[in-house]
Amino acid sequence: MVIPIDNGVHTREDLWSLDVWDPTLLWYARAMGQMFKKPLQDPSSWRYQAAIHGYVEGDPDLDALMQPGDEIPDDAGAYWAQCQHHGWFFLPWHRAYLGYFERVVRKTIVGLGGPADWALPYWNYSDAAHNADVARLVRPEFIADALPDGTPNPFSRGVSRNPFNTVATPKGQAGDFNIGPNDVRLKCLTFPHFYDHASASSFGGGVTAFSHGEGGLDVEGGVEKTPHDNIHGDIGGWMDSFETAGLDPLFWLHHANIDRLWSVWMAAPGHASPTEPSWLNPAGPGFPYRFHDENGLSQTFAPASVLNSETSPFAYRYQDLHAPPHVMALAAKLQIPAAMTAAPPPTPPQLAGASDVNVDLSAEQVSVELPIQDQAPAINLAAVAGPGPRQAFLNIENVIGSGRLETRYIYLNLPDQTSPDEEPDLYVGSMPMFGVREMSLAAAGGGNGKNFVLNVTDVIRHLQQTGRWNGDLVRVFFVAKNPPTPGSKLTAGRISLYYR
Amino acid sequence: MTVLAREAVTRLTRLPARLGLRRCGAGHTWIAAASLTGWAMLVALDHGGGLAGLCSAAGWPARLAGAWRAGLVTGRLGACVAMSFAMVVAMTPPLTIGQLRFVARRSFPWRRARAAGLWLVGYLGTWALVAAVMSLVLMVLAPPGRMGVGVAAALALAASLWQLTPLKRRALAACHRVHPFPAAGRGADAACLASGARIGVACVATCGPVMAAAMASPWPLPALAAAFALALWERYAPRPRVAAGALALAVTGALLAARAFG
Repeated sequence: MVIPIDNGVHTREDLWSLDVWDPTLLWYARAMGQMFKKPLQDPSSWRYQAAIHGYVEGDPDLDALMQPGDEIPDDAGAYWAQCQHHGWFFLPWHRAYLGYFERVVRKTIVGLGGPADWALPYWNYSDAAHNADVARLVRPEFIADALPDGTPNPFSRGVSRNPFNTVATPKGQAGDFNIGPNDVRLKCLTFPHFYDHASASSFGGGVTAFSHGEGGLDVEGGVEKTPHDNIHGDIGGWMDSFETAGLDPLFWLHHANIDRLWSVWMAAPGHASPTEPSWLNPAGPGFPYRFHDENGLSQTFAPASVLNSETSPFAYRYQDLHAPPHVMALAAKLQIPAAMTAAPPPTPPQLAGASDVNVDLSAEQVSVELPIQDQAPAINLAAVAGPGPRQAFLNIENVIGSGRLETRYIYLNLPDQTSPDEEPDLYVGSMPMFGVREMSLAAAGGGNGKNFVLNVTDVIRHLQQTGRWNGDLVRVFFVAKNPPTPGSKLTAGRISLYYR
Repeated sequence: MTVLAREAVTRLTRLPARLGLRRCGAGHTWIAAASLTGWAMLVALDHGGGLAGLCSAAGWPARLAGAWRAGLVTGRLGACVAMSFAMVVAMTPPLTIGQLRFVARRSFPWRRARAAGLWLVGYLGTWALVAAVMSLVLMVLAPPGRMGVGVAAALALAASLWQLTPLKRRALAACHRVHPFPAAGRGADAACLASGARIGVACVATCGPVMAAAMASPWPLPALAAAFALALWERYAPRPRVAAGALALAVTGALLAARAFG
């Protein structure tokens, strides 16, 4: 059901809590159908909204959607291909992006005779409390051929996604896109800082300027990596590229959940968003961010205006802001001290050891050795494994790839002849491929590839507790989620271990 | 004067933050100080009459016959090389912020200065060599007077065309590229040196034609300042339109041509 506006605040509902073809979904589908017919240059059209995230002339998927009368607007340079990735603007920019999109859809729904209370639902694929057995499935409405009245379903008609299996659920035949528990793990909620130095993991991402994903040291936040990137790759098709992701109606439900996770993280004790003016009200090339509102009027936006979703220009709240229980258990294992300030420690993590350069990760399973430097007395990674606030970060630097790329799952010091399934405590995280292809192209800003940072403190502590940590050599084991496609190529510039 | 210099350093150290880069650290201060020193050297070396005027020996045939010898005898060759070096020091360090940060952060703490230093040797060495050759060539080809202005006009128009080529865009993208390097050993040293040189070559390909036009200009200091601003914009704007630079260079070239042949 559509929850009525409360004191001017809309409520975004949990997708799997909705009834079959609930009005929230039905009106969303009708609005999508209406918006898809509009010309590309109309800011209230579905394709214009997707182009705000990314657009490249000549993209075959986008060209296939061109209609007579479509034009590239003169001001496309200021409004299109603006998505902020791999840095600390990821969350606030997408919050505003969703907010304006929601207002455009709501106006369309009202125009069609629908409810003015409508708000985007969120897809809580990490839900282990209420809908654990179905949370990672795609709702039947998004794969059904037709709407309840028998007309074609915009949610699925012509939408490009990965192949999937169907699974019977109480809400109908849902889509199984092979989204695994590791793809939706919320370790990110345990990270104490919104941002951090480039070689440390943080919740929201490293400090960047306007960032469409170009920098050699830029690093995404924990929430942007997992679950955000994983879901993009698992759904695949349009969702697997900056330029087409916004065309899939699931994109908006996925990002509503990412936005919700920001609120969940903020609600935890000791957590705070940055207070730096360069984040709150950024200036310089590329700023301020620009959007069109539901009336087609140009609006500028700064992160300072969206810190609180209820008092933001978009006035919404989420139905549920509870962190899943497994996050609490993870936080205890990591022994991460609660942040006392929004800013991270001033000293960046120190390099402890690194692999050779240009490591080929193309095979289904790859093991890479990192010798730990004995020249640095303070490195003593045994101290990481002992009690105290010391943290260790695995960096997979400058990852580039081509072809169809599969997510990698990563383990530390996995014994020879041992299946990863036998040692779940040695799992450190995933390396989803969303954005890797784009960031490998020289034309996209240097072809520096993507950096991944994983907090491995809990695994090192586990290795020490089980007598399998010597502190001289770390072995990083990569296993592909699915067998790599022949001809696909994946390379890491270097793999390194940092500590603080 | 001290207050003014301090203010200039402060403003320059804030430049990266204003450009939306990072908060200034010690590295930024060093970079700003190096750049200001370079500009101060340029001002000190400039005696009017443009770079060609500064560097040229007397008489066009004499230059052709013995530019090297004449330059060495008169000291003008040395001034030319010094000016080339000053130009490199003034203009290039602010373009290396991201690269130096990458090299430092990817190194062991005790190797940071060494890695960054080797990277700079590769980068500045490439630029200094190219700038010195450019100066010497211009010393011969762009004498003071109409002919020199004509050469400057031709170089500005050529730089304008270069701006529009795919090679220029590719070179600009290559300036943003980072090169992963081993953590220790001679391999790390060699990789840092090579990375600096590779970025130097990309930088020369990106900005070299504009720099040559600026050096040949009858007013090299303001022209170099404009070229510096263009280089910063192209490097740090999210999606720089190189065509805008091409237009500015075309207009400059046309004005210089009008002056030379009008």
